[in-house]
Amino acid sequence: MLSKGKLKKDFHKNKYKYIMVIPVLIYLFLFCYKPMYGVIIAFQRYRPTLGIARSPWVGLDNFVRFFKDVNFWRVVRNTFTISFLSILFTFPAPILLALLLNEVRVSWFKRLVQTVTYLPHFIAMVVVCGLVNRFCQSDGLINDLIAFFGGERSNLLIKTNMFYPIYILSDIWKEVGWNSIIYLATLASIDQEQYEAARIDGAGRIQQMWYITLPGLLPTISMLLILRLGNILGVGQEKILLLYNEMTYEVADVISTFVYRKGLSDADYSYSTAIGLFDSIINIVFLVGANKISKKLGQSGLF
Amino acid sequence: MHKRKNAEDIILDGIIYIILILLALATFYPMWYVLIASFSSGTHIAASGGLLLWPGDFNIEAYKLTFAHPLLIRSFCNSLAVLVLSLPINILLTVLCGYFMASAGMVWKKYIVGIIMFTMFFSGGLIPKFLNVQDLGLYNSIWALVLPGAMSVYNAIICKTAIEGIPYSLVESAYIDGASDIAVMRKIILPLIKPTMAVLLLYYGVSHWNAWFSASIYIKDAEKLPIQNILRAVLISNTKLTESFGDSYNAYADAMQYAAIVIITVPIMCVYPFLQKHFTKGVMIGAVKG
Amino acid sequence: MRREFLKRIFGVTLITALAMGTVACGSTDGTNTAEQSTVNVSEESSQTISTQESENSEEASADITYPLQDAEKLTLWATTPGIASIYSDYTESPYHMGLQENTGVEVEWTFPALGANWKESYNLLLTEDTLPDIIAYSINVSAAQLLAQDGVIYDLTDYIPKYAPDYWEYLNAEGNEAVLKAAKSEDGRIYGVRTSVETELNPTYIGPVIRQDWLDELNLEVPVTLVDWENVLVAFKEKYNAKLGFVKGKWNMGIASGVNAQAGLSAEYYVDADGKIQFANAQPEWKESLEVLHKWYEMGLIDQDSFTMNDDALRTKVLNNEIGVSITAMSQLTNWCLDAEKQNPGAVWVGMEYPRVAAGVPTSRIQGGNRSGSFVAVITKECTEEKMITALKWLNYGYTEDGFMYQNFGTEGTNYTLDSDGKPHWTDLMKNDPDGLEQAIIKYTGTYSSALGGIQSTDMVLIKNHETAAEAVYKWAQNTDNSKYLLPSLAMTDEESLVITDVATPIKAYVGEMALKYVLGEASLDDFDAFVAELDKMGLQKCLDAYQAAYDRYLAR
Repeated sequence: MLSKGKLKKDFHKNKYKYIMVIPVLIYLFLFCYKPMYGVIIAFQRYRPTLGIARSPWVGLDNFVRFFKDVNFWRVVRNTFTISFLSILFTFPAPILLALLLNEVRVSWFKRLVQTVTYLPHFIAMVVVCGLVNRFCQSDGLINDLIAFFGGERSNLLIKTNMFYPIYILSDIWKEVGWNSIIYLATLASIDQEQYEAARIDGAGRIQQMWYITLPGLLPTISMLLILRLGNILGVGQEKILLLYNEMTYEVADVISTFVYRKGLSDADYSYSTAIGLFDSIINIVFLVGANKISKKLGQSGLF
Repeated sequence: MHKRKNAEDIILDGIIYIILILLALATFYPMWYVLIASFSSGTHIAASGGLLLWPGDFNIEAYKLTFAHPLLIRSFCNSLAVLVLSLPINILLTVLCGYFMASAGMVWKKYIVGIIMFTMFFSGGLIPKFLNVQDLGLYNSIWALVLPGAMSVYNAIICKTAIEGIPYSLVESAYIDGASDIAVMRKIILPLIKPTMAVLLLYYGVSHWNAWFSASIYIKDAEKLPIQNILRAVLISNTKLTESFGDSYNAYADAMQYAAIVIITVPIMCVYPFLQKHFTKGVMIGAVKG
Repeated sequence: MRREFLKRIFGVTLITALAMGTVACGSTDGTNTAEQSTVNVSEESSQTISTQESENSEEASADITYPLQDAEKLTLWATTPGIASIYSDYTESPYHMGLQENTGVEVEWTFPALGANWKESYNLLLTEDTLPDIIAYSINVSAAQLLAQDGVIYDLTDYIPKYAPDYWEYLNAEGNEAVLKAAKSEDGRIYGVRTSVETELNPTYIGPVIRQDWLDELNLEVPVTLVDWENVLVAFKEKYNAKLGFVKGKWNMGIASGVNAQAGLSAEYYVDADGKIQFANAQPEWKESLEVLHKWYEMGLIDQDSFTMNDDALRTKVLNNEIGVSITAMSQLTNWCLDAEKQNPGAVWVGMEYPRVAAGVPTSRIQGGNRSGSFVAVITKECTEEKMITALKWLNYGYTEDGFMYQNFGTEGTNYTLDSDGKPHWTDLMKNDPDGLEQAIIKYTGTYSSALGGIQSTDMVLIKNHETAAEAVYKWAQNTDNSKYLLPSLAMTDEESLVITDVATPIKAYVGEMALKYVLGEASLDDFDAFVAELDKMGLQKCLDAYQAAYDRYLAR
């Protein structure tokens, strides 16, 4: 039990630590907790001209509306699909790159490839999507290539079956080099004697890769994977907003972009907030789940 | 031992090098395209289709026009201002938060850390956040781009991990010598977590420099927009940069877009090599404990 | 001379109007056009108004003299009239500063940010704690009514006759009955000063255009029916590899008239022959129009970028001979003609009529509307009553004779001259502007696409555009039943407005997406019945009921 005396002593001893954390708490209160109060408009029919105090209450109407919405399944499905695809493709890409780079013995070449591939990380999303836009037009670079190989020119941005490839590939293009840095760093710490021993045992390079390099990466991989799973709904909303259009909503519209359109384009503030709240709750479920898995696997857990 | 290069090795090497070369080319080409296009005229860009290997009629006209374009220059300055205002606040809050989380022995620590961590999982959402910015009177001011994202809890955890990595004996002996928390922070912790701080600076810097979303919601006046939002109007919504500048401008309208991209991207790319040596270490620390 | 000219506008207007439409504005793109709105005033309230009129008639007849003396400074948020992009803000813009000089009122202008969606900007504006004194945007009367109820804007009904006498006179002029109706809310109030257009030609600013030189080369007639269209498109594709290309936002009615349909690619309500409100996109004719488009798309007759590109991109394609047929706006046609003269001699664009079911049969729907615009300037409660009166007087300026000329043509002598028939002509200053006539118009005049109260002149639209475009607009408007089907802008009760947000908005989004899927073949038109069933499930009937009720009240007047 905390006695008054103990608290006093604690405060005396840790005075500066407490004082130092105050700015952080003020920030969190103003910009994280205060907006949480605003979530109550999800249960209202909010009108900005009336404010929270005067807007009428509607209970769970907005949630019911969402579940009945013609787009409900679509946005949920797309959110999971995009997330799943990026775990399937975007996530392993840097691991592969690291494995390949690890096999390169010519150090200038290794450095060159590394430098070239990490550079796009610094290019803004707006620019990346702008370039994707340019290149995918029917007279853009990619179509020039398609036409060169005898294919038919088409506007790739309006094709529903092209959206995921475009999304995933541009993601890989932008982040593969950058994300491989952590794996390369891990690889550098693998004991070189293991390779030596394996070579003596006559193991080929593929075998070495399989039995030494990959296991060396496993802890890092599993940790990052768990982190990624915990953020399963965290799809690249900003990127989708920049890339999608009415023709690709069918495959590209996710919960967060739907929230954006409902809230800002349709000014349906309460409805948008309700959907956002739904999104948050699902996200927490996944986070807690990922944390449990992580603890079960003997990792320290995310929190 | 090393001489044993058999056929398998050679084929494997061949495959690896080919894949990496192709990857490097595919990664490099779009950047090269932007660079080349920024030094070409509109007719050259259009005539070349998508394939530009070399500037056909090399000139720096587009750069001259870009630097003379009032909107581009102003938005460039706005972005710089956001960066200059944000980074000190970011680093200060992150280090304070990291230090608190790394310290032990406070009775209230558990609760305060709980309060801090909870914000990672739950947020008010788009509209409540917007209404909050309105409410605080930040709407349409540069502070709306600085304050709401003043600290990332994720980065604070990276900082915390770095501080935890400092041998406790160092800190302890300082305490025994009668140093206060502030002195420990200044004399021991800050010097030792410099690599991590460099990484955090880079993280925050890149995210501020490349951000467009908050400004698209929180900023109303065109003259207050950061550069990314102008680029978004130009590249994504295809708003013309040069509508009324007469014929000479129109010839370089495309090149100007690319010049603007080069101008905003190159500085941040150039910062990285200076931080690189800290980086591998810092990113590891961050990753070891998420 | 000038009096003669102005009499046409301020006196009897030749073409009577049914109701509503959007203001013809060449520069707005599809996303920024407005929701429909209208008015229905009970007999009672109209009597009230006429009594007020007689009470105020003495003062009302006393014209307001501009420039106003000792006027307070006003703040204003408007989407248009914007500032030519060579100026960094309004203080450099000759039009905005000239307006200040002419009216004697200092105005601080703010606009939506570059590239921002107007509707989003307007929505965000309303969440602000401090609003500008005047908001000029496309706000339908039902929404304005709600704003007034919430205490955000002034109800101007009692002030207009006295402090905006010229606007009041215009509303009550003979032939302007529908304009007056459109200005009033469900409860018969007037909440703002609306923008109007001079004749019904103004809203018909979009229509089909074709490469005449290619038709001649191929010995083809100007196409009339959709079968003719297809033949021409096929011939163009074979000979020139040129296609039908357009900007989605300007497709509005598209080729609907070719199969008697009532909608292009977006949701549309209309009045059928029995006076019933119908949803155009649930009709078999609409399905038919999509079948045609899908077929053309599959045949490669439609440029694929049509669904994503903007006017600039289309202009480039046109200049590169990639487009043979299009549906576009007068201002764009002007650009194309000028481009062709300068850089692509031989290319001849001309306007042609909207497609018809058969020659001589009137077109069902075309781009077009009523003389009452959707843009309105409302005055917020940030103003004291005194300031509100200043603002109202200032807004009235666009409806005075001087204001009309200034808004449309700029300053006499500097920007325009009048010939002996009282017709305006641009001066050399305008014609030789280094940035082109269109930019010159934005620099010096206001109604080119104005959200501020005033009347857009038809002459201005005709002389600002290339003569080809001026001829085209007459072809587009020829022999059409458009006004028979056109839904008057309806004033809704609060409850009906709620139905519109909850049901009509999602339906609109759904229809917009499905239309594209059908054209691109992502969805099959064989499932059209399922589409209609889905509309019913979404509550289409509720929408139709709301519209019907509002329409019945409109007729009951």
